[in-house]
Amino acid sequence: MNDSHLSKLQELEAALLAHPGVREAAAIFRQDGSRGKPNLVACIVPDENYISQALADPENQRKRLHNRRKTFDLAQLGKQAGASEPGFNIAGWDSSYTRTPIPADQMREWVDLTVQEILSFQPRDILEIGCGTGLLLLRIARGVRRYVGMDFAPVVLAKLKQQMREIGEDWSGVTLLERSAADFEGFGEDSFDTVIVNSVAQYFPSAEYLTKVLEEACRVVKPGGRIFVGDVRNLALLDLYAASVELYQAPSHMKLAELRQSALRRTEFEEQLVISPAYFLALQRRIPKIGAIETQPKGGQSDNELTRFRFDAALHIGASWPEPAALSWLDWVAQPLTLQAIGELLRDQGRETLAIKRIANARVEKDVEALAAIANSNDEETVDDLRKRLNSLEPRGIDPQKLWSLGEQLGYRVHASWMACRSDGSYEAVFQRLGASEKSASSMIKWPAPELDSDNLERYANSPGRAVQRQRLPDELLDHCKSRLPTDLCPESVILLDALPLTVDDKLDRQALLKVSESCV
Amino acid sequence: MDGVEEIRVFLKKLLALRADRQPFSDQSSLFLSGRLGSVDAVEVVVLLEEKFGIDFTETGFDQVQIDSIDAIQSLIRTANVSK
Repeated sequence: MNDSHLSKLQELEAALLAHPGVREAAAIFRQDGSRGKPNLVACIVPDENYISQALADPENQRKRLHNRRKTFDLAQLGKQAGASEPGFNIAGWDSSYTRTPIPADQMREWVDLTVQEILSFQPRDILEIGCGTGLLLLRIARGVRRYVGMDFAPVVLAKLKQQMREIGEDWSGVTLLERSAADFEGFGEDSFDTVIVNSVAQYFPSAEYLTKVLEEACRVVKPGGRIFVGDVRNLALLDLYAASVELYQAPSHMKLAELRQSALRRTEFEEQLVISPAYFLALQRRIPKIGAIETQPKGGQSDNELTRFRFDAALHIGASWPEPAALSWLDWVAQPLTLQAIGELLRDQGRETLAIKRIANARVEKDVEALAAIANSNDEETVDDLRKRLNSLEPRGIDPQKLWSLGEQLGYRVHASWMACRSDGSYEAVFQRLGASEKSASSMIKWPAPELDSDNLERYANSPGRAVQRQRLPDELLDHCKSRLPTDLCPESVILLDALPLTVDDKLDRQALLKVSESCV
Repeated sequence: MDGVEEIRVFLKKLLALRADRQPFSDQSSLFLSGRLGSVDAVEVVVLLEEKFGIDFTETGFDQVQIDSIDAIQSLIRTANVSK
C-alpha cells in the first residue's frame, strides 16, 4: 500500500473514532468487481453504551410503545377477531412455528389453567395490567369485589367493552382504563390484593420498564397479596426456542451450519422482552416488600411454545416470610425415576413430601438435542439428517404436566420450579400430601437457584430492539463522514463487527479484515 | 408510479435494519416468510395510511395484504377503486 492510500485510511479511521457510537475502527480498500477504483470500506466495532443510550432515549421508547400498541389494534381488525365468540377473543395468538393461529382448544386450556391458578388464592380486589380483550377479566371479574383492567390499546379495549355488552350480566365491579402499564396514577398504597400482568411483559420495551411496573405493583398490593406475572418467556431457554423454531421452518436440504446462523439471528433480533427466572430473584433483593417468589413452568397438555418455553412468576407480598424448611432432594440425573417409579414412591411409602431436582423436561427433549447438534455440526449434516435422528430419539424426561396429573390422582399438591435457570428446561418438583400443607406452601420451598452475580436487573433479560438499533449505525456514520470529510475519503459502506481481527503480535490484520468484509457484502 | 418505488426503498431499509441484505423481488414474501416482524408491519401500515390514504379500519387488516410489493400495490389499487 502506498503512503497516500495509508494516510487516507488513517484520516477516515480518525473521523470514525470521533463518533460516539464507534469503539474501534479500521478502513480498507476493497476491489468490488474487476474494474475501476477500489472502494473504501469502513469496519467498525460499535460502542454498546451508545446503543444502550439510544434505546433508552424517551423518544425512541415512546415510538416503540406506540408501534407495539398499534400491533394489538391491528390484530383486532383481522378476520380472526371478527369471527371470535364473546369471551374468547384470541386474535393475534399466532404460533412462531407455523405463523398461523394457535389452535383454539390449546388456547382454551391455557386460559382455563391461568384462571384456575389466579383463583386459587381467592382474590377480591384485582388490578390487571394489559387486560387485552378480556380472556381473564371476563372469567374472573364477576366473582370478585373489584376488578380494574388497564390496557394501552384503544381498539382492544373497545372490543372488550363490546363483549361485556354482548354477554350482558352485571359488570358493576369492573373499571376499564386506557393507559400504559407504568401509569399507576390514582392507585393508593396497599389498595389491591392481586395484580395480574399476564402475557404482557414480553411486549415491554426493556427490563427497566418491567421493573418500573413491578415496583409500582408492589406498592399497591397489600401484605398477604400477590403479583402474578404470567406467561413469561424464559431467557434461559431462548437459544433452545430459536433452534426449535428455525429447525421447524428450515428446508430439509439446509446445512446445519446455516441453520445455526439463522437461530443466532433469531435470538439476536428477538423483538420481545425475554426474562430469566433469576430476574425475579434479583427483584426480590431490591424490593423488601416481596416476601417470596415462585417461577413455575406453564401447565397444560398442549405441546406448543407456551408450554415449552414459558413460565408463571408469582411474587408474594409481605416482608415477614418464615424461613423455608430444608428438603432432602432426590437428584433425577443421578437416579432417573420414571413416572411410574415416582408414583410407587408416593403410594407405597406414603411420603408427606417428595422433592426431586434436575428432572429432564420431556417437552423440550428434542429441542435440547437439536440445539446440541446445531452447535456441534460438521459441514455435511443437513436438516433432514437431524430430523430423522430426532424422530428416533428415545424419550427419557418427564412432562411436568404428567407430575401434576399424578399428584391429583394420588392426593398430592405438586409444585414445579425453573428457578435454577438451566438452559435445558430441566426443573425441580416437590410433592406435598394434600391437607398436610397450607395453600402458600410452594412459596415456602427453598428452590435451587443460581448465585446472583449482579444486582443490575437488566442483566437478567434480553434487550429487545438492540440489534435493530445497532443496524442504524452504518447510515449514521455515512452521514457523519459526509459532513466532515472530502468526498473521496467517505466510505462506500460501513460494516459492523464484534471485534477487529488482530495479527499474532496484536496489530490490525488488514488481510483478515478484507476477508471478513467480503463476506459481509 | 413513483409510489411503488417509495415503498420498495422503505422495505429495503426495514430489511437492512434486520441485517437482511438478500435480494427481494416484487413477489417476495416479507412477513409470512418471517423476514420482517409485526413491529415492521406497523411501520408499513403507518406509511400506507399516511402517504397512500389507506384506512385499515375499512379494509380490515391481515399481513397477507402487505406481504409483498405486489400485494401492497393491489391493496392500494383496491382501496382507491372503492373510494
